[in-house]
Amino acid sequence: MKTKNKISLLVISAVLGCMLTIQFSSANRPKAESNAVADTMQLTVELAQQTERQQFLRSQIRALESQINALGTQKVDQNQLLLTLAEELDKVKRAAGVNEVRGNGVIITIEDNVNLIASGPVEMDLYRRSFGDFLYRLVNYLKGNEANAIVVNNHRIVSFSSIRSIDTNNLQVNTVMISPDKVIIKAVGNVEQMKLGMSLFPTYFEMMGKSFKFEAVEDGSLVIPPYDDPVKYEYAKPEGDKKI
Amino acid sequence: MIWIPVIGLVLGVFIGLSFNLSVPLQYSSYLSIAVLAALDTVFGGIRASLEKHFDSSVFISGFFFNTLLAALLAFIGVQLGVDLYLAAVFAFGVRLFNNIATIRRLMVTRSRKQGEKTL
Repeated sequence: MKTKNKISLLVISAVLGCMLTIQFSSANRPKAESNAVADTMQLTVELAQQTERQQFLRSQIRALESQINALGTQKVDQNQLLLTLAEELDKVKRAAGVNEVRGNGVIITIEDNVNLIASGPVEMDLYRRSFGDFLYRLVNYLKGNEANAIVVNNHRIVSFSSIRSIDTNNLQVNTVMISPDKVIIKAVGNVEQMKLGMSLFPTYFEMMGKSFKFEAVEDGSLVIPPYDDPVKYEYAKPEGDKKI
Repeated sequence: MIWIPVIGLVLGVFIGLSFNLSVPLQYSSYLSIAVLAALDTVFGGIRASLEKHFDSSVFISGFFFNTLLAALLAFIGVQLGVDLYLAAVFAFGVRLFNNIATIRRLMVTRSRKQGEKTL
């Protein structure tokens, strides 16, 4: 047999081998490639999530119904009614962040570091301008990692809180100006989970010339003060000491 | 000589595994028909070489033509809603078995002849 023929046979066999491998690998990996399979899986997951959500909502409805019933049956006993209302008010206050919270948590200190500023990248000024955005992201990550209460330089983070950079030298938290040179964030909640959630942030702040110090407090002594910044109401007016 | 396609096949499998290539599932059926056509051509080539009338031009053109034709037939079948690929499966399947049977016969005859020579 001629060399030319041998080479052609070898090459064609190699192409066939390659085609066979591609076919086998494609046939054995249908999950990632198949739209139908992926859609079914997605639908199954979504259905499970919706079922879970429905169960949760049903339990919430049941709890609220029983609460209404309790309030309805207690209308004769005014003292009991007041007690129930006070309990509810306390729950609402805790959710709104107007109560002091104490427990295990973390203290994060982000402050300017001369060495990092000196060795930082050329675009550092640009990064420093987005300090507020990253701080907001950090707070969001803390919330997402089971933080129950968060405070930034003693300004309690609540549902209507805001964090933003005015410029490189001015930061605003809850519409109050603070210095971005040193920011201390305290959060009460699941320490381990919050620690995991913070793993990415040191690098971001180092690019801004800021050191990131993470300290865990596990003796239950961390205190988060209540929200005491001004609240701007559009329609409601404060009642003062007037008794209802 | 029989080792050449085997070596080529191993080489192709190695290349395929190294590059980790795959085709979308919707095109997988076309590739399977093409593979069948390619297998038929390779076995036809082995048979031709055993029968001493192997022609590389016929072999290479046959490989690509058969492969593409089979894939095209499957594609047209999908577009028309007719299982045309079955025609390709049948034709190439029959040819494949014929080629394999011929190769087997030729190899048995050859080994017999060699045995007689040694005696």
